[in-house]
Amino acid sequence: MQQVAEVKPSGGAQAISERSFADLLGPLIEPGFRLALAMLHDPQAAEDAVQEASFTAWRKVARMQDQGKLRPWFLGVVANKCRNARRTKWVAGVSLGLPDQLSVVSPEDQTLRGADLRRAVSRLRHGDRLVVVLYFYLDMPLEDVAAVVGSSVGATRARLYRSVQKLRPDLDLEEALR
Amino acid sequence: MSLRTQIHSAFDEVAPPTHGLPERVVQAVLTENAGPKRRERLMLRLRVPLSLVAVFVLVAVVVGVLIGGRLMQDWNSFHNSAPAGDSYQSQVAQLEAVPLHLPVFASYADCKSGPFNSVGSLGSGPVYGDAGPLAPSTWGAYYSIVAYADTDVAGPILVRARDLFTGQPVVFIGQYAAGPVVGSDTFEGHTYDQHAEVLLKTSTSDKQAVSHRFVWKFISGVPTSSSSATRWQIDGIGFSEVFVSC
Repeated sequence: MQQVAEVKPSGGAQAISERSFADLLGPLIEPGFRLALAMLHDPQAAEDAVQEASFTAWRKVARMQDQGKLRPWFLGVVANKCRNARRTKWVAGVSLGLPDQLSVVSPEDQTLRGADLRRAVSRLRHGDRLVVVLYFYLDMPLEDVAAVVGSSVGATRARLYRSVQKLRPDLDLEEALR
Repeated sequence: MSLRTQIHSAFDEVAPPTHGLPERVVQAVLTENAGPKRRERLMLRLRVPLSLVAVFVLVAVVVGVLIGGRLMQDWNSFHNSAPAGDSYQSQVAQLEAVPLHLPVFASYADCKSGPFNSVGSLGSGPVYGDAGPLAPSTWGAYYSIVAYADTDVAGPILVRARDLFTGQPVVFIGQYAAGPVVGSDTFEGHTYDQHAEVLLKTSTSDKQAVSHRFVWKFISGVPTSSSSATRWQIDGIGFSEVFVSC
């Protein structure tokens, strides 16, 4: 997992230099984009969400007491931008009617299975989808996922269990969470 | 293959390359940041005149609304001088008589979504649509649809949609749902009749939703057995458009 450079401001809310900001935020853009893409299924909307989150970060990062927590905080901002995306594009919506399992056997089989899984993920409610994406796609430990969603580790684990059950009812939970 | 691997594979196969993205995003923030002081100075200098401008704008808007409302009233009374109800119903019947054209695709992989307009909404115009997932039910899944038009359209607008592979109708619930009832479902605690059509009226546009000339928001649904490939046909007075969503 990518680690954020530990930069401790010398005292409270103060302006952050452009260089420091670039150093702090740069490593977070790609995971932020991956999160937004998995949440929104639209590369352009995902880039917009990350860009908006970065503007928010610029305004608030200097006031953060512990900038070591920047990564979960920033991903939380990206997640909020995704939730607030006012108009989700049609492609992410109407194409969600596929059954969970496709019985197609063809050269495109792998692609279709991927599409099937993406649709199943996008059917989850925002909070459920967020923990699934953070845990399985961004490979974040449960503690960090909990920090992003602003919940306890126990509650986050329970939400993840429920989400996996919705996603793949046939899977053994412990096996699925590996 | 573990669920983690499957999810990685599913999203990585559609993720575009992100080369240069971090630099681009950071640069945009820094560039934007370079402006506030200039804007602040401008605002200080213009604060008093701006308040005057705001008053003038407000007055102009009020006058515009009054005049526009009167003009609209005159226009409507001019157009509705004929027997309105009969005329409207006959227009709806005329639109319902337009046959549905269902393109044939050999497989789901052949199905291509489109056409899209310049902002990524589906449709060839004058009516365009966006959608997002709303909620699943035991029957299937529901989607929130926003249809909009930026040019003058008048009279009823009929929306119908079919699954391209199963032939099942996409159903509609809510205030604009119309046409034959094809089923019912309990959704978010309420039981709804599912209709096969949506009838949009230019007189009841949800204009507050977004800044388009006409905006309508409604709910569509597809059963769990849906192929996810749907074909939408929008018929209005003087136009007929189709688009496909896969």
